[in-house]
Amino acid sequence: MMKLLIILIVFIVCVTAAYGLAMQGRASMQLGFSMHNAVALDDGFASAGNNSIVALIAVTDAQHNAQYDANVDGDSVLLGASQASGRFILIFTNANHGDIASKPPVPSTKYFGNVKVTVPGSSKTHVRLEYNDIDIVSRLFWGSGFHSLVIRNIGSVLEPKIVMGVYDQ
Amino acid sequence: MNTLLVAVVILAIVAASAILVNTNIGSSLQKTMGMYSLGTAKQVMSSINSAMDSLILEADGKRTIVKDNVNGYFIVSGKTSEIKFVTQAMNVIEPGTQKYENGMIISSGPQSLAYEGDVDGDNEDEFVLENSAVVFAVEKIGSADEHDKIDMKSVISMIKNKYTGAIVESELDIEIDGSSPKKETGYTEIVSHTMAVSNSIVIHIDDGYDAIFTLGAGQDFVSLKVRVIQ
Repeated sequence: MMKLLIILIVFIVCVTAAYGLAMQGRASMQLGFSMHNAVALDDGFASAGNNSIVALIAVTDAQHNAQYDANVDGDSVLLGASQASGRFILIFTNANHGDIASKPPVPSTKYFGNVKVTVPGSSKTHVRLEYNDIDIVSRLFWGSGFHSLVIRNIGSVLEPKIVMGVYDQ
Repeated sequence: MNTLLVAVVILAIVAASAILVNTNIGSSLQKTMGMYSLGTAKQVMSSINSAMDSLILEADGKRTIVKDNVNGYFIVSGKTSEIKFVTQAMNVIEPGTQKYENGMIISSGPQSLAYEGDVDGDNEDEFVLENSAVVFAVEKIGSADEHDKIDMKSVISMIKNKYTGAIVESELDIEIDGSSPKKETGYTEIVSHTMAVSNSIVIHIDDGYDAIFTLGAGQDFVSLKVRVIQ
């Protein structure tokens, strides 16, 4: 019984330490988006204009304890969202709650509403890497050929600053 | 006469074969080359991503080298902390689609617009992101060399749904750990590249944060990334 208690205490200490380390340097972000001449809807949605547009503050990374609220102040609606990752999306489209809720999360989804986008018959393909907790200092552009990309962290572990340089081989 | 007829028939067969090869095998070969180019780019991007993951755990100038040999363009955008690759091959994936793969966002579609112009009719230019669904405009304030006062309540000039024509009048409020930044100065700037499928507007608040708004091709939403400035 005593052994079990000790193991439990060690486990709790380890989990707490790991969580603390993971959240270190991560600030809590609160985003408020106030719309005039709008109507509040359920679940953090609001309707503006002629009711055919739905605006929403959503959070792309739900694992960081996202919280939503909607307050009405006269003819304005304040949509609020808070979480730690600092990533939000603002949707401006013609749809209803069901349409939006049924869509997979960003980035898989490009359209939340009944959007008819004219897509050209041929398009180039784009591959993108996005970083939120890493500060990339460089601005670079390079084309086809053999290159060496040198990547260096001139910051710290808590505040990484990445510098890049590209050299022809 | 017979000999001439045979020659004409042979010539016709050769010409038809050449056209068939050119149209079918040519496009197939082009697609295969495109797939190869995209596959190589994904490998390089994956190597860069792995290098970034390991480098952020090791500071003190630790560096690593990634070699590439790709057919396309790389763009490193420090303003938005993004690394982008644009393949020169066309139609490798279905136009208008977007997918998430091993930390990479792979997309294909029309390019979004980024420009300076007066979209709200106040006789002053704004920074504008526009695609077929949304117009998103932010006041043009200061510059990297000359910071100016920023009122977050009015910094977003216009958000318009192009399908319904509805314009959203909005105010923005960003708080970090429950409080707004002490300074209300900074600058706004537009980050775009002619080769990029998405463009961004950055609101830089001194000693506070960078708020990065990004609009992709055809998207009916604006992504907002808030990066705290330590």
